[in-house]
Amino acid sequence: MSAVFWISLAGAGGALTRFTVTTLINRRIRPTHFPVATFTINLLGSGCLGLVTGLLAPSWLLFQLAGGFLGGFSTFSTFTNDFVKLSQAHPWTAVTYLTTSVSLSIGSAFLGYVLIR
Amino acid sequence: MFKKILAILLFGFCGSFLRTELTLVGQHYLVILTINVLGSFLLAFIAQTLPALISLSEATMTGLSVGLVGSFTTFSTFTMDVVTLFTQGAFGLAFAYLAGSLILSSGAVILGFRTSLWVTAGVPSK
Repeated sequence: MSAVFWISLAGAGGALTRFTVTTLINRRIRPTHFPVATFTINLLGSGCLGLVTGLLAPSWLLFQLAGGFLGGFSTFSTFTNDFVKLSQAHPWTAVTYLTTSVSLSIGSAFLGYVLIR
Repeated sequence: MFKKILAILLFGFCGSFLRTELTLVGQHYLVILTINVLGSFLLAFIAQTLPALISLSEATMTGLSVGLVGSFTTFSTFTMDVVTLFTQGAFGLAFAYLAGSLILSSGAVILGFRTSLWVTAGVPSK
């Protein structure tokens, strides 16, 4: 099997993990406008990709597999869709969601990368 | 629940496959930006259009949104790209990539909703 097959399989596992984490988080916390689940997932995914980039970069396949999983785990489309929908009813929550998601996730990716390198 | 899990795995595989193949053919940052903008449009469009036009099972709908589009787009690669550009000292490019992704994708979501309204106009509600 080609590498792309295994990378895509890792991505499928990432998507299922995202669905599971979203379901679990939404079941545990009280209803809120702030998309806690996607926020947490993207923060975790970014931090882990930072670690993985610092740790596995020498091994192309291992890095691609971990990156494939994290790529399927984290998601941009739900993030932007939630942001636009929120911005109509709750503009301040939307702005908070956007700025915290982006700044903290970039921060966690950077931290993961410099910590392990 | 079993059908939903199967749909997410199957469509998630396809989304990741498309993203991986696309990143092999073009300039990395441009490809990821395009994928995230396109995916943002598609999620807004299909979530609003498909249920209005055809009857889909909940499993298929979850597969398409959470699986296909969800794993096609990526947030971790986006943030790691910003970090990489930043650590390389390409501050202008890092900022353009960051702002461009956010602005174009948000525009794409609005376009997705509008296109959906246009497509479903005149379709009797199910």
